[in-house]
Amino acid sequence: MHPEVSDEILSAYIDNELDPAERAALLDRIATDGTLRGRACELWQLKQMVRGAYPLPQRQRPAHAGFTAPRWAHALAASLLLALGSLSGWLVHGRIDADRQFASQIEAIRSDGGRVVLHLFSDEPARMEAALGMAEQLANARDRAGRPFRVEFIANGPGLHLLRAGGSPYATRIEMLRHHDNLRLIACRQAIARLQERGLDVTLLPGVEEAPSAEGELAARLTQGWRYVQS
Amino acid sequence: MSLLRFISRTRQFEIRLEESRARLWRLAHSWCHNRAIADDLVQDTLAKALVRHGQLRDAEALHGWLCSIMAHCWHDQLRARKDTLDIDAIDEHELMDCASPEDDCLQNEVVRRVRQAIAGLPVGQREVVTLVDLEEFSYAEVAEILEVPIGTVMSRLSRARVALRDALREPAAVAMIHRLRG
Repeated sequence: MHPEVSDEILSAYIDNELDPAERAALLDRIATDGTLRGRACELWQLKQMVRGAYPLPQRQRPAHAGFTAPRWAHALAASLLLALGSLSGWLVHGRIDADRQFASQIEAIRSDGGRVVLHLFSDEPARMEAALGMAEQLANARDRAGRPFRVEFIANGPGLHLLRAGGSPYATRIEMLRHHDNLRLIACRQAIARLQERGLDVTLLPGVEEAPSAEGELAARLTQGWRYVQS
Repeated sequence: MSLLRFISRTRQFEIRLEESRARLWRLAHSWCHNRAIADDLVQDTLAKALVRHGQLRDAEALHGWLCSIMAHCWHDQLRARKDTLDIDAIDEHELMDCASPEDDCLQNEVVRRVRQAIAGLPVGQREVVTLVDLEEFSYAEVAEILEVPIGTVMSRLSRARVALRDALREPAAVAMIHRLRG
């Protein structure tokens, strides 16, 4: 039996303050302990809410009435508070559902260093289709210095379906995606374990990696300053 | 150093200070939730920074150094007003997001609730949580800026987050947000 992980340690984890060994040990525990995972998620959500509540004052409004980063931060904060309030889970409300907004997102990612996590938590065909379309665009996008974006495509919950051999309706497109060196396809080991508990055989498509938990991976990236996009 | 080079270096420094202005203002505002006081704090900080220009050893550390000056200004103000500033000066309107009036009411309401929760924290916790979350300083940097041990930074941060979590998940808040969603 492990001693309980303190709020201080969990805070240090979401602030990226743990050393690699401490971090690895905590991630192992997070992978097997749902309560701990929930606490870590909640803290991470709080952090995002605080960030969303204080956008940088704009010296002047942008010339075009686009989807600017602070507003996006607000939208994320709003979605997070809803997720926290309704305890309905992980970022389920923050999806981007318009092409125009997605184009603005790419621009925001570009000006922010070109690093992005794309998160899929659904097996609805429209969502999977949208996520793939976004992944394809992001994989081909370049930052201001002309370098390719760095993209992590993370699937968990029902979204895992997209990355399963024998189940995914989009295996050919995934196969194309995996040949982009700048994109990683990541499946949540928790989601895999849940399917296996139900007696299902889970084989991932070639090139798909596993992470101990989608939340852990997301939290790690976001604390490193990666942008977040949900399909 | 020639006068010309001196002027040019000072000018470059001013430009870099100007670039920090928005971030300083956001931080000041998250401490006091009062526009006028935030304006004052930023002005005061930038003026002091110009005067003490020579004390800055590492140009990369400019923003941390500015935040440290601003923390001193803020603590001076709190002391001068016998600690009443903190509670009395919070203007309820400041908790709204004036930067984007076109946003829908839900977003504004969320922002208001988060700011209210931040404003309700003890000063020390509020400073730590905003320096970490908004300015993304490491714990060691925050310890240096606020001149407290790193253990204090960690415990204040942890207590702040527990308090924020509790404030933001109280049933009334949840009910209100669901109503706004509908």
